[in-house]
Amino acid sequence: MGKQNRRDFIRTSAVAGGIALSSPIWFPESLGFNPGQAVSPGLAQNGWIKVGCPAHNCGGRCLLKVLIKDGIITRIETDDRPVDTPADPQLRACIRGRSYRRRQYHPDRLKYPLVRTGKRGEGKFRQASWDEALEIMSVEMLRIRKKYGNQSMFVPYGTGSYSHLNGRWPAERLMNLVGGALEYYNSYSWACISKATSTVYGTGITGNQRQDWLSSKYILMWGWNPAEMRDGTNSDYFIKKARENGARVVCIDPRMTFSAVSLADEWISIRPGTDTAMMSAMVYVMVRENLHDSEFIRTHCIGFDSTQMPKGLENEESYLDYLLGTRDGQPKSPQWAAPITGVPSDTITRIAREYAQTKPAMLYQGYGMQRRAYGEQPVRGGCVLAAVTGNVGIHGGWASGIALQPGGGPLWSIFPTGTNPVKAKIPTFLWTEAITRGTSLSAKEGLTGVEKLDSNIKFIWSVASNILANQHGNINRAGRILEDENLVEYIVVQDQFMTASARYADLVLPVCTHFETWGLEDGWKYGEEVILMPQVVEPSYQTKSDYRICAELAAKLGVYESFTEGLDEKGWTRRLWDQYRETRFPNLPPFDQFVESNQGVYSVPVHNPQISLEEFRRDPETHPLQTPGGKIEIFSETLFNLGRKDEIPAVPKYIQEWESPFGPEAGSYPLQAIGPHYMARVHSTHDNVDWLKEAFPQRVFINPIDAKSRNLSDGERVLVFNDRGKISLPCRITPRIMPGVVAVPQGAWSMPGPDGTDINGNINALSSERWTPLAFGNAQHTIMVAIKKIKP
Amino acid sequence: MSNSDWPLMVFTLSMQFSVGVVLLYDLFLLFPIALKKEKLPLRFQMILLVALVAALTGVVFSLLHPGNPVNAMKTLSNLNNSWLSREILFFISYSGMLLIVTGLQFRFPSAVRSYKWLLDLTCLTGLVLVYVMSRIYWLPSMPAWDSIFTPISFYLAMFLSGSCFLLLFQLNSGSWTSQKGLAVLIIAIPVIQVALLPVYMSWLEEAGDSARQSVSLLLNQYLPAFYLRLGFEILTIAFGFWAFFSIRSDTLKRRNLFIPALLAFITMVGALVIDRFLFYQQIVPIGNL
Amino acid sequence: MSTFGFYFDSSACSGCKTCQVACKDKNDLQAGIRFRRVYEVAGANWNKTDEGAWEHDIVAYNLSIACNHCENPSCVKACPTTAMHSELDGIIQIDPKKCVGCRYCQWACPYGSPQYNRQKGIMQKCDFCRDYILDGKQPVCVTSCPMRALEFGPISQLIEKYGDNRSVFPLPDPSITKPALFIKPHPGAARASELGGSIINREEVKDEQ
Ligand SMILES: Nc1nc2c(c(=O)[nH]1)N[C@H]1C(S)=C(S)[C@@H](COP(=O)(O)OP(=O)(O)OC[C@H]3O[C@@H](n4cnc5c(=O)[nH]c(N)nc54)[C@H](O)[C@@H]3O)O[C@H]1N2
Ligand SMILES: Nc1nc2c(c(=O)[nH]1)N[C@H]1C(S)=C(S)[C@@H](COP(=O)(O)OP(=O)(O)OC[C@H]3O[C@@H](n4cnc5c(=O)[nH]c(N)nc54)[C@H](O)[C@@H]3O)O[C@H]1N2
Ligand code: SF4
Ligand code: SF4
Ligand code: SF4
Ligand code: SF4
Ligand code: SF4
Ligand SMILES: [Mo]
Repeated sequence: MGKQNRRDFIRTSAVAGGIALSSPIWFPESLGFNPGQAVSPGLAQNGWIKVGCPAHNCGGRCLLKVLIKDGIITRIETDDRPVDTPADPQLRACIRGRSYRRRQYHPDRLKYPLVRTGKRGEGKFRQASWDEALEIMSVEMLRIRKKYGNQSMFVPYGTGSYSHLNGRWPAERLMNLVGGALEYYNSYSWACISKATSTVYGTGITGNQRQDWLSSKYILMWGWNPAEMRDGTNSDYFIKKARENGARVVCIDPRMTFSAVSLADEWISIRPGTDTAMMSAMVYVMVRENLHDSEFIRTHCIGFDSTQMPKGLENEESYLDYLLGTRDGQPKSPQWAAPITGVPSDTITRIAREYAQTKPAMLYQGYGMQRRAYGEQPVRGGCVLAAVTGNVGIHGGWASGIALQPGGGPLWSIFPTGTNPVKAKIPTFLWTEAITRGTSLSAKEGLTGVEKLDSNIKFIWSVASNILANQHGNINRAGRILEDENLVEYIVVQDQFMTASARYADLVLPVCTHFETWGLEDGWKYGEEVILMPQVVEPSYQTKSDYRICAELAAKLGVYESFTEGLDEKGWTRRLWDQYRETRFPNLPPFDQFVESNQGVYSVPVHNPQISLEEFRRDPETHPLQTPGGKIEIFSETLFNLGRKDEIPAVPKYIQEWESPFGPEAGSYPLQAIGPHYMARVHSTHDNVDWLKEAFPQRVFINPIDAKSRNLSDGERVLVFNDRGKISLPCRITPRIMPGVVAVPQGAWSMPGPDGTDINGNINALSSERWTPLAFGNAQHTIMVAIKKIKP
Repeated sequence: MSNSDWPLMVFTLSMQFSVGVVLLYDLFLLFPIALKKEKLPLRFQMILLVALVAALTGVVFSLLHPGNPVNAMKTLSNLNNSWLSREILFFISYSGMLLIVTGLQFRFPSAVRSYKWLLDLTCLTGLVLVYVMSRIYWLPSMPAWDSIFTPISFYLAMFLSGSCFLLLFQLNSGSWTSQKGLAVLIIAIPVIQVALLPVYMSWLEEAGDSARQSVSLLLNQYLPAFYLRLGFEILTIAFGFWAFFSIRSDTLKRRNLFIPALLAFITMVGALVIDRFLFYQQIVPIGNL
Repeated sequence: MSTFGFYFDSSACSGCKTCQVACKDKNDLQAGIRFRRVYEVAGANWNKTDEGAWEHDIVAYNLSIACNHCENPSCVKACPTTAMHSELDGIIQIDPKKCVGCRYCQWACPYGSPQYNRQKGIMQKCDFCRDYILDGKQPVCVTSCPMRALEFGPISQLIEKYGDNRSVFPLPDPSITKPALFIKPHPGAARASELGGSIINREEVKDEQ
């Protein structure tokens, strides 16, 4: 299709859509938003354009259709491909995608570069030109590099953009071209689950393609909430379809989640941090009633009982020993688990029977339970449950763990960042330690690549991230560290809004949105599609794309040519598109043709879903796992050899968390607080969107029993606090959370009031910086708090 | 109570007051005078004026309610179906007639008999208006309003406020029999109101979930207001008795009437305002648990 | 006589409110005005067992409610100006030129559908995406639902496909207005009333006064 044709296409589709192309009355001018730019040629069409929903770390990837009128997005709809089947479902946007105009045209968008004028963290800035801003930045980079070396430079974790060539990836590429920077490994999302899954299976690819869920007969959604916490667009819809096919679904979560309400036949409320106790008791029941798959265990597993222990460790505690209490004298019976988990023993027994006897069955673990103290244990426990019931490597089964897709799955980001000359890596979560005591970190704190660091972190370039002062554990502490100009000497934050993290910046660089530049995206964890993100409107104000900013900085640093390779954003998008053609999707139409077609998404229908670990299941001898013993390691020799059995046992065990309702801390802080991922936000992104706040205001959710004993009434503002901080926000009294537990959705913008109390309810004012023993993961869900009335 | 309910409250109360005053004036004062073919005491003209002022207050507040005056015409478009349309029609008719009668009375004070039919008609229109007004609230969507109790309470408010005013107004004049009559009303109506309360509440208890919510609103959140209203009503009854026994055929002693009549008036206003406040507060729309 | 209706599968509704916001986007509605609202109903007893565990008998579900374009619309009867009217195709619409903002329809509608626009001083409401329907397309909320819990169609077709159930706790008795809303109740809904269930997200659905 030629240009003319495309325009015609758009026009006819607009007419077919019967759109009154009239200007909305209040929007967006009445908000004080004034894009103030001429519309560039090539973007001049008025009409519908298909574009990927801005690729934040939202858990999904969906197709939007935006209506453009005079260079402004005036309406947002979603995938309306006529055929909508489980094999190739529509990628329907969620509430966040549908409300994107309110973010795109928010009056508070960052408009021009800002240079700090007040004290760091005070939030005082002056406007600067791009040239001045990037000049200052390059001078600071060179100064700090010269003084402390490349290990002192750091581009922190940040998930604001996965459109391949935006977000932190171009920054990483640039850093690598100028000598490298301190790198991190693992993530805030999946630290424990990635690490622990492979201790059992030797791989993270333990899931099946989602269409396979439709063959399952029993689904345990264990701390998994795909209806709210998007975990691949359509995951919730697939569960609905599985139920239509006769699957019984049970949800185990401290909260009666969206998923428990709409996807499950039963909700079991479990005390946070105690899942491994319930899992152990379930296997205990199976063993007692001989419901486990002893044949599969014999042929495919290691360490279930004393007959299958690794060589030389025959006398160590096997999993069965642990369950029966052979060594510690405590059988892990449902009666033992009931007071720990808060789940009645009868229920545990029943669920154990159901899961063991209904075939095939899947146990899908969410990631919340592993963002906790000893978060490795429930992951290993879930994997072991799948193994002892023989649900591994079969249709309708599920091996648990992180469950990445077979066949490669989505590519997340393929923008070539190059190789980092700096070999040192820290665990993602430990950046505050690398600032305060970097040179004294060692393997004990998860440092890899080097024995010791040459320098603490001295330069931070935070791109597409609100980790620094919003998403990290114990942000009050993080703030004190960032504030100190003797520690980090220069901080650059590159974002679209003045976030809590940006308040600590020395330099703030304004970025355009995904609608204002080119990019492309594929699935979030799951999915068989690639979605084009053409530029649909001009960058607002003086904003630039992440790529453009990096390119201009590259020019200041003398590496423009090698950074850009002569390509602009669209050029890179084309190149990455071609890469998809060469790898994941050979039948993908050529780039220009696809752009012209205004088709938005290319998807491959899945009629025969692939199964992970299928070959291993069929023939474990010829297709051994990548574990030391080649089999499923219920007992892990590797973990045993670490010699830290109290924190990192060789078989999955329940370990009382370091902040727990059973510990002394419960005296002053009797409630467990969890920070679930909220429908209204992608972490902290979208927190300033009024339509979303209206739909899902920030609240602390509390059971009527706990509310009553504190004399709280619904909607009343309360103080939630512990030793690390205080937040104040209205409470929502709901029976949909178990007594003793409160939920404060994570990601609210940190807004400390004059006395330091966060008045917007950011749970990270209460969470802890302590990491998990094996994976060095964030344990931000493990905290105890107290709640009291604000008004006496 | 939402902001937009305040004008409504003033509107309904002042209209009921206005109709009550006109009606009782017609019945208790003019009727005997007309029978006896006496001359109308001059100061009686003031009574209609007060009723007119009350109605005009209603106009002002009603304008706050359906927007601007130009809109008034639009609101007459659905007389076939809409009680609000009908209310506005009767409201305009009533106020218009009242304006005319009041004018006539000032212009031709001695010819009352010749236009008394118009006053009667005004009363009749007023009575219909109060009914129509109550029908606005008689809605299936608002269980707490959805019953005969709504018109009953409107009429009781009308009679009570009218009698209290008239008694206060004609302390020194008027026949003692009519005064006694008014005092009886001032006693009887609050008695009925108080007696109806448990009937109404137990009816609400049976009228579905939302209605039950209304009861619990009244008995919990608004219990102080509820008791205050009850207290005022009982006081009105007491002052009514006091007034009743202060009324003598002996004109010289009538001054004693002033205090109980005034107190009855004040407590009556207190009770009615709280009553109407609760009327708006207690609603729980059906299906909105 | 209304011709079109909504089908709503409450058993599949997650309460994600995508429908609510998709509608706001189409109609350019500022915060506080919701043509479609998602009510969260819940009720439960929580008891500690002798073992020290927790037992509950909770029910919870969502109701996504717009205007039901009732066959016997009390809003139309109530409206003094006839601004609220029924089109020939049965779609209940508000004529903004006639509406005087008296808010009487809001009282009369048992579903909380009419929404007052304070800035404009008039009432607004779901118009069933009439422009889309006339164009042969589906209403925006229907095609937005990630759970595919909403459908739209001629009343007769919906009844044929799903039966004629128009009620679920705590919605009003459908005989009041005969809503063109066909509901598949959540399995828990049957017990909601006896558990003393109620709307627990009131602040998210209430009309901003
Ligand atoms: N207590 C608690 N804390 C948590 C979690 C928890 O469960 N509980 N979850 C953790 C998890 S799993 C994660 S993944 C992290 C997420 O933490 P972050 O990665 O910090 O994610 P966001 O908070 O969404 O911040 C992304 C920022 O990028 C900006 N942005 C969006 N698009 C672009 C773009 O194109 N370019 C640029 N430059 N900026 C852009 C947004 O405005 C936003 O400020 O949070 C972690 N924090
Ligand atoms: N809407 C939305 N979706 C998202 C995101 C978002 O910000 N918003 N973020 C995306 C990202 S980056 C990630 S990493 C994922 C995160 O996905 P998850 O980590 O799975 O999400 P959470 O909400 O933290 O936790 C899931 C559930 O675990 C429960 N839970 C907490 N602690 C425990 C426990 O100890 N035991 C059990 N059984 N349950 C527990 C919580 O109540 C919650 O319902 O979500 C992705 N999807
Ligand atoms: S799931 Fe993610 S990609 Fe899909 S609409 Fe929501 S925010 Fe956008
Ligand atoms: S739902 Fe309410 S507004 Fe809509 S037609 Fe029925 S009565 Fe009227
Ligand atoms: S607010 Fe408008 S539509 Fe509603 S009853 Fe009044 S005039 Fe009619
Ligand atoms: S039909 Fe249209 S106007 Fe009505 S609720 Fe759905 S999207 Fe909104
Ligand atoms: S979009 Fe669908 S699932 Fe979400 S609230 Fe609306 S009807 Fe329910
Ligand atoms: Mo994450």
